[in-house]
Amino acid sequence: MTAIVFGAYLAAIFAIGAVALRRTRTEGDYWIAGGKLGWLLGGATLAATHASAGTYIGTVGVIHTVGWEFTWLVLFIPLSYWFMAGFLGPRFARTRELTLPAFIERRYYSRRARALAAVVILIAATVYVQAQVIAGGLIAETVFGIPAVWGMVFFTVILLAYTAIGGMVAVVYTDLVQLVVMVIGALVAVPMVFRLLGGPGPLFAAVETLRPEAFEFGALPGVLLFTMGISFLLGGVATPEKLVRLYAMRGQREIRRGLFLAMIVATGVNLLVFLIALGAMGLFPILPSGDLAMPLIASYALPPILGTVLLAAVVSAIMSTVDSLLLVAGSALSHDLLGVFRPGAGPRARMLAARLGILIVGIAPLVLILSGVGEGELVQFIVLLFTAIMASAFFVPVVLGVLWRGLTREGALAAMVGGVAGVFVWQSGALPWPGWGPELVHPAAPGVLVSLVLGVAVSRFTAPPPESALTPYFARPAGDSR
Amino acid sequence: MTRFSFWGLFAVFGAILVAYWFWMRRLERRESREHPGDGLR
Repeated sequence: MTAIVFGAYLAAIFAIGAVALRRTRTEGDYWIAGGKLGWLLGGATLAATHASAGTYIGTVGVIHTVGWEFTWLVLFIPLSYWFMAGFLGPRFARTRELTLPAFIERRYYSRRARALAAVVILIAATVYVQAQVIAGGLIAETVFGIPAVWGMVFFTVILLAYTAIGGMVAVVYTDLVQLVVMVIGALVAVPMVFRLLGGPGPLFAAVETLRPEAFEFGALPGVLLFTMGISFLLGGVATPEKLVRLYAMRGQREIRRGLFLAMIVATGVNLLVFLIALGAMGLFPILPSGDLAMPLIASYALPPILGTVLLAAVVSAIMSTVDSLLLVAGSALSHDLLGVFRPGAGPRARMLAARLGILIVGIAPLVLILSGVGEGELVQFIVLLFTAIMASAFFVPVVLGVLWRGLTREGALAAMVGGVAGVFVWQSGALPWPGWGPELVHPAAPGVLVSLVLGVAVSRFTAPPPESALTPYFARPAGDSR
Repeated sequence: MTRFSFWGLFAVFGAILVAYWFWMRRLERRESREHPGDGLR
């Protein structure tokens, strides 16, 4: 039964890839779906990209371990989308590009800055995909009993098949299907889990008896909770796989409505998952690792068919995030890096390079895993760092760059390099102040702070940006009547 | 504490959605006044 459900699901995904191939003729179609998405598809792909294995397995695990207080961080999700709609939407709608590094080149009149942005995206996304592929392999092992390595190969082949062929068009439509599966999976699981414990009243009573600390604040330091929230906010706004979706939407109005849909669905899915986590606390109050809570619910607490639907939701969450990251990393490799070194390449060569780029960034994580690079804690470490790195590299160049005319090329370069370096130094714990480190403050906060200070300070001492770089993003200066 | 931490979360989320909705509608009404043809697309 499980195999039939998964088989039908994969057949649907492949069919979408094949249809998308016919609708993808130019590089613009391939990277941003021609910039023609309406609010429904745009919002759905944002929400689907947002929800990942972190939502369905990681968040459940954290809530199971530290209690309900962690759920309050979810409120930073709608705030980050609002921030995008208010500050970035209008400017990105006016100045369409194909990638985030292309924006960096235009705003900072520098190919070097574009190449640097592409390299940061390429490395961070490849390593993130690596961790998700490992998770995909483990699910295949658990559900189908096939060796994890074959699960990972299978998972990579499926993802590459539709992403490399159909580009953004395929990713957007598969994201819609995957989002529906995610929502259905969570929607059917919540009432079943509640029923197992006798309804909401008895569930609360059971959780309060078994885990009396579950609804109290204090399991995590307040500073850590707050800076994690800030990281969600900054990382949510500045990640390239989300920003590029603003370019993919038709106009400002579609962006605003799409972001409204995304904030409802992305936050709503999280809230449903939180309720499942609450059920897991009542059903399995003590676990060796919180990450086991969701697989245990799917395998033992639900009837087999509903358990399968819930696992399909988890797989959908992983796939919809990985395909978007493959696209972003592939575009960084072929459009931005090749674009910098081979600006004169023709359209056919560009499309070929685009597909090859996706294949390379898709196969690289698998090769790295099979050759033993990034096993164990290292991957987990980098997954946690992914948001922090993206926020620290891009929040200042993107957000401050469209709000403050004074940010210069040198300032942006310093902000990107300094932000990423700040995250690594903070995370390594090599700090002169005892007690300060990643266990008290999430590394995104110091990373963005370093990036901000360097960006502003270096801009003060370097030549101001030329007017041609600012015109697309800012209104004309007062008194200019051109 | 239980009820506050549980229902409070949903209430704040609902309030953010309502606030966003009014903000979005206000901008859309202003844009339709400034560019009346856009609504016919």
